[in-house]
Amino acid sequence: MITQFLLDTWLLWLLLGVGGLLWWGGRDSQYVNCVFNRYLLALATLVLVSGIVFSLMEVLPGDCAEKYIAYKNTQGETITEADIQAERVRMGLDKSLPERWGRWVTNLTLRGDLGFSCAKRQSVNLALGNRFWMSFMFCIAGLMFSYLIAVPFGILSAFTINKPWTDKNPQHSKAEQLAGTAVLSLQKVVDLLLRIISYLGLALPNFLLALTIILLYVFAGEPMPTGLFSDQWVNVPWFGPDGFETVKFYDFLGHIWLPIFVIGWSATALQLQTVRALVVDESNKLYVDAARARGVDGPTLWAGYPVRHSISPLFNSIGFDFQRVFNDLPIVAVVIGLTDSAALLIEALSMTNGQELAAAILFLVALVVISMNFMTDVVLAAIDPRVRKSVLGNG
Amino acid sequence: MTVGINLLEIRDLTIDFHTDEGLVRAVDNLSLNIRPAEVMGLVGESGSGKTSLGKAMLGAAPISSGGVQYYNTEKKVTFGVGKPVKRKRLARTTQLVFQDPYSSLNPRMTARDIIAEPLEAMRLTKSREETDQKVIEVAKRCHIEVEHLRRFPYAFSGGQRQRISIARALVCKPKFIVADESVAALDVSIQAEILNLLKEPKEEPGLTILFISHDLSVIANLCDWVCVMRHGELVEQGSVRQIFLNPQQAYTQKLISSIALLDVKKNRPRRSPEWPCMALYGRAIGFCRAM
Amino acid sequence: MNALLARFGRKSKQTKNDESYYTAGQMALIKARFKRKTSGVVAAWILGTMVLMGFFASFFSPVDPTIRGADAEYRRGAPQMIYFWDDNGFSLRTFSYTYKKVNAKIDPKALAGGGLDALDAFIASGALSSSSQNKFEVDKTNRRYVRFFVKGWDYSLVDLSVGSLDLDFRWDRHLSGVERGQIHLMGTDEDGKDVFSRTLHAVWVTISIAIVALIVKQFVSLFVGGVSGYFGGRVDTIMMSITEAVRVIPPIPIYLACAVALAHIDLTPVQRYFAIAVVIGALDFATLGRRLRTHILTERNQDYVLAAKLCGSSTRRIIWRHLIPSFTSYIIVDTLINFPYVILAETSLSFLGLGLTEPVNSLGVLLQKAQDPDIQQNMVWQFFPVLVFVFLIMAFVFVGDALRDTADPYSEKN
Repeated sequence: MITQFLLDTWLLWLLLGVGGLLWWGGRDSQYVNCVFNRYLLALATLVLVSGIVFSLMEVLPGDCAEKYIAYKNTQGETITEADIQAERVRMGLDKSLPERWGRWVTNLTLRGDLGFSCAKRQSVNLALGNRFWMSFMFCIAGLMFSYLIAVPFGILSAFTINKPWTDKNPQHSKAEQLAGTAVLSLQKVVDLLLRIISYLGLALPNFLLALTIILLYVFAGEPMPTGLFSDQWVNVPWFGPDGFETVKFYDFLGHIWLPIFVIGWSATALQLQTVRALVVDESNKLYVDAARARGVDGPTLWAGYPVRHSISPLFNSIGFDFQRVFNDLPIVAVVIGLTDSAALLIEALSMTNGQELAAAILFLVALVVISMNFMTDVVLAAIDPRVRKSVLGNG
Repeated sequence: MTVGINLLEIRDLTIDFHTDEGLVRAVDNLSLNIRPAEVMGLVGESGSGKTSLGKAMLGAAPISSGGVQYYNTEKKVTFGVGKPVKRKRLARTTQLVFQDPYSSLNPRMTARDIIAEPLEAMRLTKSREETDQKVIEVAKRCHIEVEHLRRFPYAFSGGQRQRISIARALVCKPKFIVADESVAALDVSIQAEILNLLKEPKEEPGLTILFISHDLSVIANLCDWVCVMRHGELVEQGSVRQIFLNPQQAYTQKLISSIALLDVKKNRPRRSPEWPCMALYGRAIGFCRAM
Repeated sequence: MNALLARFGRKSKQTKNDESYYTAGQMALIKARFKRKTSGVVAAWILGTMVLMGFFASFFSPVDPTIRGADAEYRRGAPQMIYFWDDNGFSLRTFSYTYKKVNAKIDPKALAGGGLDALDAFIASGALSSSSQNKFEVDKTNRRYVRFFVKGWDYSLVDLSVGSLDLDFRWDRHLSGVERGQIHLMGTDEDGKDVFSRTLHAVWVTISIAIVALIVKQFVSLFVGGVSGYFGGRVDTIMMSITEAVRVIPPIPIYLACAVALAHIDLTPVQRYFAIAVVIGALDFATLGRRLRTHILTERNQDYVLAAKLCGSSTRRIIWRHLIPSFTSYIIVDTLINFPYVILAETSLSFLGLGLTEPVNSLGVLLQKAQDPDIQQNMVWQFFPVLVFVFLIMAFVFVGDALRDTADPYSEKN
């Protein structure tokens, strides 16, 4: 029985355990103490967020009792107002908002139980299934896509910012000058293209991009790559009689590039501008000049000095980048026809008034963002002395 | 109106600051009288509490015990522990000239607006023309060109900004001005200009100046009476001649002896300056030569 | 001041440029620096033109965008071109042609007697397909000349009515129009409503929503940031925790929830329009609020604020005269930079069908129609609003970027 109780409340023990470890470590090390403070802050923010999300979902009309009664109604029974009220009492829905919220939070922390969805008539955990993981994977993939493109090209863009188009360096021979000019022009052209793309990325939101791509497919006359798999492969399991189904995997790849590209698109545009601005700011600082004077030049200079220091703000913003990407996900999901939790979110909010489901999904997103922020803060404080100093100064 | 021979009396003043490291006592049980129409110098090293004392006289420092009383003012001006500052009364009596000319002027206001601030804030004039009149008057006295009054602070150099600061302090005709290291941020030649400007109002009947500095030659040039502070306490005070030529306390003697001197015979400094090399200023040379 | 200067001032020999630079206020400096950035200036002109055309949309559009102006004879029609010359000769006045609808030929008799083969042939002929719905025959002999300042449909130029006071200035002249019938520069939709007119009106609707939303946002941010920054301490910590918590939640689902809630209250389209704008604006205070709070916290401790206090300035005067001007330029720039995002938020909402809906004209509503495969395949000209939308956002982005660079003219790092 004890083991059953412990298993039921696993989440609570996990949270307490981590907290305890941090507190104990914090007695000796100032850094761990700081981490502990951040941990408490993150938990407090989480509680606050859960409160906001929960109360926000109250604005959605209709509650569980009405839906249940409506369901019963379709079965042919006649219902009265008193029945609805009785049902409410039975479900505990007549309690006040703080009480219901408290119950939700305790269920969540004790058991990781996200509640019961009345519209779907099943536990939210079940209804979500692995869809949240799907959304999570999409967002992460989109983010990685955007970082992979934005970081190198942003640095390149920053690199070319003050350079002229031609190489007029008198120290180079004519041939070297020509080659230099070619390289510089190429860099400038790439920079210009990137700026246009980044502006377009801002102007053409994700859903429009998805629409345009679909339109292109229409013009090309080919079937649109909606969903994750083509019709024929949807129900085929991953591991068939011959082992891993590679063809299904190729089909999957053929379909997945669209959501990831669309999701990552505006994130890329934004990141390009951010990286460029960060690197340009850093490269104007005196320590870069000092390094140059010491003889460090070229890629070593760039990698070692401005780039290394611009990485930390970038790294720090991962949490909010994820939140921005997830923000765009619902619309993209609708346009492309995905079936992940973002689509579920839209459905819950707009069609079925599933407050519990919506609240749970929003809470999970907030959880991911807060934990990402927490982790990036901790990692940065560990490896970047500037952050450590400013953080320890206050913490 | 409280009558007294002194302009300002400070009684048992203690100033404590709450910092991350704990309680820092900037001024420790200090008592001081300032006579009217006097230029008093307040000297000390960094951290001796002189700025805190100066700010306390303006009601801008947290007083833990003791109090400040002004005499011969229109309305009674006194504050301290348990007695809050009556800002408008105090502002008409005493003004502050800041150390940093770059941060003490609002970058988004014209010079005219900055100088007119006390008049407008305390509604001392009845019309815009009257304000303008007074502003132009004081600007001329401070050698600020009248056309420049329309400009913004970024158009001025450090010395000019300090002049605007002084003009702002003078415009409401206060009885007492605290100049907190007002020339420390400036070039040597500009320092001389500003010092001359500060000396001029000395001629005006009744204006008292407290000049806070760590620069002894400036003190020697400008002041009549000197107070020496160390670790929040008043070590010694006396007339300029007394302090420079006949310092009584050991600390004061140490201070005075550390002034770098130009060896007039060999034309090079006799001692490495912990204090900036100041032997070019008028009276200071006279004193230093006598040592 | 100037009069006194004339009396007391001396004529100085400085160049006019110098003087105007030194006496330039904040706004003048920002304008001067902005003028040096060509991309920003060009974008600003384009933006200005678009906004103007949007505001006076009814003047610029030859056709009434609502259902009243729907052209029953030209439904689902392709854009009508205007020409200067054709086979019949050159004309200084531009003209367009008359279009007549061609109905797909359906022969019921053949169907009736033919059996399955006839049915197959009939279906294969494409007579029933949606694309056959918009075939029009051009009558080149029948020219319709384009005229300017035409008398057309009655519209409201500027509606300043307040309450029962009717200040509605109505007019009925339009910039251009044709002699007979209507001209559709960008084609029509399924109901016959002119796409060009709808787009123009939609631009203004979208921009006005953005303006309302941004005003609300600035006020909320100012309140949060101001109170936090000015009072500091516990108040600051509490407000910042709430701001942080709100910042973490993705905004679009929240807008959706609010939009759904609003849908259940009985509101007229105009009220719904304002309610959505207010919701979008009120929820977006996090970033700006935080920036303002940091700014105020630092400015509060600046020397010049202390100097003002020592001059006898009251708290109110310090806030109005010193603190607020220190961030006005920042707020203005932030407003312009955020225009695209607010427009995108409204568009996304309408796109999902939860913001404004037909028959209201907003860019989001028009964009939503582009989702329909029928439109994608047969009426591609209905993507014109997409082009306009992209242009509008790009213009805002360029202007915003240029402004961001010029925003703080008093920063010493010139």
